[in-house]
Amino acid sequence: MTSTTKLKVLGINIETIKLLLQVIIFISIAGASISSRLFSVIRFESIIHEFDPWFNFRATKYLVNHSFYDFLNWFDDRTWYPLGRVTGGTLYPGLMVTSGVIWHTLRDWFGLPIDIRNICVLLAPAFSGLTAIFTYFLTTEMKDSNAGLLAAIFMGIAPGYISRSVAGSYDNEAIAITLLMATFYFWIKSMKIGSVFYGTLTALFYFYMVSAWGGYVFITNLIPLHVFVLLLMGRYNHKLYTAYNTWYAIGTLASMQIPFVGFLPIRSNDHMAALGVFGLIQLVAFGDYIKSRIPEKQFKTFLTVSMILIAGLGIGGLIGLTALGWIAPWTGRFYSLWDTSYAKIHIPIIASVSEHQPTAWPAFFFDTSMLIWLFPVGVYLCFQDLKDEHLFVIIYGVLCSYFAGVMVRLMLTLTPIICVSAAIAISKLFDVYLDLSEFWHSSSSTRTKLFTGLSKLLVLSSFTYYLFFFVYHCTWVTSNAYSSPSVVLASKNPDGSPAIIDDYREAYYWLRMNTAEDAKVMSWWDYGYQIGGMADRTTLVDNNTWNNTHIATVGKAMCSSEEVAYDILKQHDVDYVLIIFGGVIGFSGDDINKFLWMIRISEGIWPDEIHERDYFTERGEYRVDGQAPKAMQESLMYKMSYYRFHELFMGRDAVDRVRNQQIPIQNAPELSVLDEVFTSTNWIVRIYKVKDADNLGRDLKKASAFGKNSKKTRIAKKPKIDLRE
Amino acid sequence: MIFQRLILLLSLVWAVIGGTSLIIYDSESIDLDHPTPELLKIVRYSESKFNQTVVRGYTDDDLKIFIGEESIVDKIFILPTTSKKILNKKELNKVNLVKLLEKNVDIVVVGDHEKNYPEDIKDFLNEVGIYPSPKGYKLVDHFNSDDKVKLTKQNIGCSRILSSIDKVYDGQSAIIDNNENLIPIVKASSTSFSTNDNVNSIDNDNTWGIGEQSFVVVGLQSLSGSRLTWFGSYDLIDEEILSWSLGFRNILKLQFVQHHKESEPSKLDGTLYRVSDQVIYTIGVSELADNEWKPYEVEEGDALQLSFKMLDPYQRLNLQPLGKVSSTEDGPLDTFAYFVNFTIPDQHGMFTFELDHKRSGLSYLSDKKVVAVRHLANDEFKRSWEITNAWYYIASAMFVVVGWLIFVVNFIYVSRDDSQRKNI
Repeated sequence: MTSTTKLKVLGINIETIKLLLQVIIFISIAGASISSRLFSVIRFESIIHEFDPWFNFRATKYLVNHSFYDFLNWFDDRTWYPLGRVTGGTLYPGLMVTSGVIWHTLRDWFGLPIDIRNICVLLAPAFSGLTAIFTYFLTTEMKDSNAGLLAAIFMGIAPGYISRSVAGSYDNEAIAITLLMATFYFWIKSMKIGSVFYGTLTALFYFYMVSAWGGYVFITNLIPLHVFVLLLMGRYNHKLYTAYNTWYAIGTLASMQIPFVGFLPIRSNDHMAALGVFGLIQLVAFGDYIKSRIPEKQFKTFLTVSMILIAGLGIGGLIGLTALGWIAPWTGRFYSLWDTSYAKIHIPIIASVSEHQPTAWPAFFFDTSMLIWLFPVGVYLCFQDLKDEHLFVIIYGVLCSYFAGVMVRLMLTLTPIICVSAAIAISKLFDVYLDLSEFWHSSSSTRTKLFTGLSKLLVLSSFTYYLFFFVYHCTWVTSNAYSSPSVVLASKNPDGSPAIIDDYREAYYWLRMNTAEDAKVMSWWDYGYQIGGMADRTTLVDNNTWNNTHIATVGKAMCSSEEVAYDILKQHDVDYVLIIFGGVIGFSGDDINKFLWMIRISEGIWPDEIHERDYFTERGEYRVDGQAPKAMQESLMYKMSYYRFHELFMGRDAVDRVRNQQIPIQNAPELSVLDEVFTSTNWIVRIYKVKDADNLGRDLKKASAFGKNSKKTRIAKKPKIDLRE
Repeated sequence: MIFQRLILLLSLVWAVIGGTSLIIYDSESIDLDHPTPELLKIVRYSESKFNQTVVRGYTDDDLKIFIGEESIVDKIFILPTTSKKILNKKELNKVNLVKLLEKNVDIVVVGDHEKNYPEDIKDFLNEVGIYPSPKGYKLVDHFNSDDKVKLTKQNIGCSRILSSIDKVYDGQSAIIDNNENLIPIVKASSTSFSTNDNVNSIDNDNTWGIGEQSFVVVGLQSLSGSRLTWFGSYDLIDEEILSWSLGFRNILKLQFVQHHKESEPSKLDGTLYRVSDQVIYTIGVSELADNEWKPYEVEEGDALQLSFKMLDPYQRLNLQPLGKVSSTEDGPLDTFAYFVNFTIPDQHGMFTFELDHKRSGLSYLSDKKVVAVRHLANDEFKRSWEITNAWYYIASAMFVVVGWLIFVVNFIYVSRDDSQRKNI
């Protein structure tokens, strides 16, 4: 648009009106994305969700109650008893620091003393608005602002992203996706114009991303891959050189300031691609310089020789350094990205997490609705243009489609690029079909006009319907599938009215009020963060699964007999054992259903003592009823789950409603090393206290049997006892 | 009932030690107006030691031990009986006896080879791990002229409880299991055995313990501090053993346990240490003797030991004697202090200062204090220039910086001048 032909509507510059409209659209998009994330607060309450957010919340509280210095050097003596956890050095502090800064700003500068919990609950929705804006900028770089606006609204309400960013879902991903989009936007910008300034901004947002989420490795590999492909395509230029070097040098140095990352960028294999491309681009730059100075033929020889040399050195060096242990080998999660059954065989602890399972195909449609079939169209359109930045969308799209297929949780990183390419596709379509200018030009015949008009109307109305349906789908999914806090369970009364099952908080509150402040609570690791966050008690293992052996120890205690378990409990100073039991109300996510993982994980450490086979029947079935194998019936977990269960059935055979099996009355377990101290309303949470060693030195089985059976022994028989030592 | 009045009267007199003792006797065959000499001896002993002595028979309906959940007696003597009957089974049963030991009531049980134990008393003893021989069984030793067993100093199982014995014994014995809290106080001689059969040759069926596997006095030290003592017969009751049984001596008490950093002696019992801190751990131990607390000095060759452990002990150290101190301000020197000064290992985690002193004949000392040992904070490491190895790298970095500056200066000013000159 030239300055001479400025259009005016009602005397106002059309650019101003456009800007005004854009701002209004932005505000609406932000409003839509925030409000749809508030379903969870409306349906339930302002509460922190699930598991990991409870740790983040606890860490945030620690940060605002202490200083940043204390937070950085935090040694947490209330988790992983007795190992403790160097929490300050093993977490990504970005999320907590963000909330802390907001909290301090509001309180110190605006005089608004807001409860830190509310900031934590509402952080994810607030950042989702920002994500939409950065998606707009990124897509604008790819096509134009029309596509940008579409991408923004898609990003704002796509369930794939909402699943991790509803109010209360206070997890690293909540801010990480925003930073991912921001980093990519600045990268495209700096690569396009070769600006050191934008390169530095890329590095800064990269640093923020590193501080916030372990998924930063995705950026660390994607940008070098982009550059690498560009180099292979012979698209090297000085802009690329400037942008990449600025980002890599500043970004890497900055990322090393995060204690958890430390020297990983120069030692871990996950980061080697970035380092390699950094080296490569120097060589290419040098080659480019040589090329401009010497004749073509000589350069070819130079190129061949140097290529062979470099490839040999590079590969040899990588293998050599890995073999020497200088470079850390790839992690299990990395291998499981390529071989989906790797984790199942080698690392049960990774496989046991449901979000590490491969994605089922309906999940793609569920999480992105119509965008999933627009995604290939967008990628195709990128191929049509194939500028440097379009290559980025293609690489990102292809890589992430694969990863999202391998692990459910990586759906999250795929969603943004789906939104971007779908927006490119739709906006291209609208560019063509919304172009009504030919109706004003009378060059074509009425007949042609009619048919074009009809076809345009058909396409436009169907896509309007699709868009409407998309919004409807997103809202429905958000309100029904992704808004449950999972701490509180929604249920229905027999008459159909909604009911809330609040057993978890009931139990955690009981622990908080009735146990000693330094009591140690053992549970399976899933509940570690919640016990720490809600009950404020010391736990043995939690969702930060850094020590497999310790988790296996807990697993062993759960799946061994009482005598074996008691020694483990005493060695670890355990005071209480907490289990989840769903047999009464049919809650399927209980510990008996997770029990196989406990067995597998402990078998990994003690293959001589625990055998998974022992817990199956002869015919290989997993049973808890009368045919349950001996190892199963004698395991501490089984006993704790079904202890006193028959009392609910008036002494008749009990029915487990999760597994639909009958537990005969003669199988009713007896406990001698634990005392039941608490069982929640719906029996979901059961807490047991570990008995002290017997005062007289008897073993606890004998002690608890004492005085119960009044069998009289009239005849004095000589007891069969060992010789006194 | 002159005897009972006498007791009532005597109970009003303040005895040497406070407390109430209950003596349960064979009310079926003994008339309290004409008590047997053995019973009288025990009653006299009890009266000399306790505020109040209550004598009740197995078949008395006013046999009362508990009010609600609380025990109203501090010591119980259970004497042999001809009948196995207990009238007030609600008060006197095996479960309650175990409960009494938890409530720090000391119990003395006396056996008799011609009498039975009531079922509950026998079950109670069996539960603890003492299996007295049944009625009719008697300890014999054919190596002695009269088949009786000679008990000498060699038969003493625990010298802390009994220093000397010289008796010819004729009575019941018991076998005991491997309960670690049981203390054999007097063993039978190596040539003795217990039997009720004087005709057939001995085998496993007609004997009840052979040689030194038979015991005639057995003690039990419970974790809570109470004691149970079983005597095979009245003859063995000895004031020295009784003073142990009733908790007048060999009771240890931890007067204080403290730990602190060597550099910060004023900050006691902190819960947070740092790796490689220098720590001083101090305890004070008293021993009850002659009814007062006296400093406890460990015997020659023995030592109090501290474990600094996280799952496994990282340090296991003998405490060094420090000297006699007072447990209260301006009080008498009633405590012996021990200490150890050690370096916390270079391992962060939740560590336990664990003191575990279990010696047979003495009451148990055990104490656990959990502290956190943190890692070095980010500013507690040495700075790079303090590490000589790093000088090389610092110098390299400096050279690169300087070289770069020289290059820039050269590139901008020096070499450009050259090219200009060339062009000219």
